[in-house]
Amino acid sequence: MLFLSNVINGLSLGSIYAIIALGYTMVYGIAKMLNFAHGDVIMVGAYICFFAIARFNLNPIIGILLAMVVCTVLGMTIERFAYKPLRQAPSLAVLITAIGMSYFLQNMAQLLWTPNIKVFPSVVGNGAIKLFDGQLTISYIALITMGACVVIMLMLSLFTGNSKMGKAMRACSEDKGAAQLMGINVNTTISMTFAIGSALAAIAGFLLCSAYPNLTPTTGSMPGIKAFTAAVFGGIGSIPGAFVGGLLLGVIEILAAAYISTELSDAVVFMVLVVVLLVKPTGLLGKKISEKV
Amino acid sequence: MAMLEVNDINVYYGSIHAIKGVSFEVNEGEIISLIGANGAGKTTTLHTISGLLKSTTGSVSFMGQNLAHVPAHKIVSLGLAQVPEGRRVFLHMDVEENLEMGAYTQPNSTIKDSMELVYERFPRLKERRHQVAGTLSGGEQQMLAMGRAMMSKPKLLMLDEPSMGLAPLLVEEIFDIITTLNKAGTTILLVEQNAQMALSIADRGYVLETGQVVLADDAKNLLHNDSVRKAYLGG
Ligand SMILES: Nc1ncnc2c1ncn2[C@@H]1O[C@H](COP(=O)(O)OP(=O)(O)OP(=O)(O)O)[C@@H](O)[C@H]1O
Ligand SMILES: [Mg+2]
Repeated sequence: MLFLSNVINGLSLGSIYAIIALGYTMVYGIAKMLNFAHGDVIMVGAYICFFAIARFNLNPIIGILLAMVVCTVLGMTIERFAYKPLRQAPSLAVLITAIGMSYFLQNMAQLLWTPNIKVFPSVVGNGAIKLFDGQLTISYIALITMGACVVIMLMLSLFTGNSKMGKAMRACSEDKGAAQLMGINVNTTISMTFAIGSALAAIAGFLLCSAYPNLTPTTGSMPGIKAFTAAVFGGIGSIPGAFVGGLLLGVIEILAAAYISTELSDAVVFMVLVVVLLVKPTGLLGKKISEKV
Repeated sequence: MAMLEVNDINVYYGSIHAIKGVSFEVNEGEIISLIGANGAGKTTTLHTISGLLKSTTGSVSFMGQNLAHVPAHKIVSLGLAQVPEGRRVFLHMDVEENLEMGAYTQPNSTIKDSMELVYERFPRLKERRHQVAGTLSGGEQQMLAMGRAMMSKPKLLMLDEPSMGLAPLLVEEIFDIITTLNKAGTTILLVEQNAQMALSIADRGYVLETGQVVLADDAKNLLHNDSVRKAYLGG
């Protein structure tokens, strides 16, 4: 029973990673860049939720929606002013810009909101459902987190599989030149991708801080790196890959902490990543169809 | 006034001067062939017309409209489509989705009808409409690329080496379809290394060499021109 409860905790943590990883993987798939500032957008989203809910006593749903709007605008602004001018630049320049943007957001947060820990309000409460005569408890926040992850995943699959904009995104991620020849506006598509990824980051920020309530300007960086790992693990650029990678990473991390050692859990996570990439360099679900000439 | 007027364009890749003052025109209803060896600048010319590359001088105008400041994604809706070199179909999407992408600028209500038209021309695509493009054969991919371009209902269709890598029988099939499309009212600008085939269906032709037009004439004259025969028709 303890094992099962560990797995559920892992899935819950993994759901947060998966939601963040979706942002990394969609942006990578289309803009072919690693947006290292993505983790810090989560942090901004969490602060917006914090102020809306704890300080202005707004309804939590309104708070999350507000955070989504702010993060969407933030993500699109970052893309427009920091990354778009570098469209033709070497990828190293883009990567360094993204790292710079990450520090910029952290420092702005320190200036605006001080480096002191803010305790995130417990919106969901400490309730839990008890199963098997109380041997297995699943907290509401864990249930909500996993539920949110599944809903987001389904909606994104529907969006990319069926909507015109979603298909245009897939076309751009394969071949931007050919997409332009179809009449697809590549700039708008990239901007939309950042918007979606950032809105998801706001949700992730809320869920993350509901589970781990200590909010500081660096709150987003470690989950950001883990989620990036999850995206690579699942196959960067692949949406189902981010989902699978995120969940697996969460489960491995929690199981390693429970049965090996808490200190080594991160090391185990990255070891597994190395092994997966050695065996399958494109990640678990990453695919490559070779071009016919 | 010609349908497409390319007037003294110069295109650079960094310091490489790929197109050096090229001018030519395509009249409504014509099939024009642009022939030239590897690296002559054929693809660069088509990409410049489609707006993927920009010329530093001169102008490209289509049906009287100067394209200098029209972004690439708006050019298709003017009625100017391109079947790019190497097909460049969306390999991870299925046949139907590829065709839908071709109709990106078209109202949703017309997509079904356009798709039926494409399937009529390429029955083989219909059989494979739920197959991922990456698993199609080279010839089928070429058909898909052409069908995809037809979905935008172009007035002028530009094709970049549609015969590349195809068996002779399939090349004939593709060229038959090009003539059929032309008879149905689509103007054609055809880029080819297969000069024999390209000139045999064309009204006029231009010969491109190292970024310059070195010959321009009626297609049948070019077919009998000595220097063309030597360079492109194997003597
Ligand atoms: N992306 C690029 N960067 C630098 N130079 C390029 C690029 N693309 C083409 N060139 C150069 O521009 C010139 C014209 O190339 P282009 O692709 O237009 O030739 P082409 O006539 O289409 O040749 P092919 O028959 O082989 O397709 C060549 O010298 C080529 O090396
Ligand atoms: Mg070429």
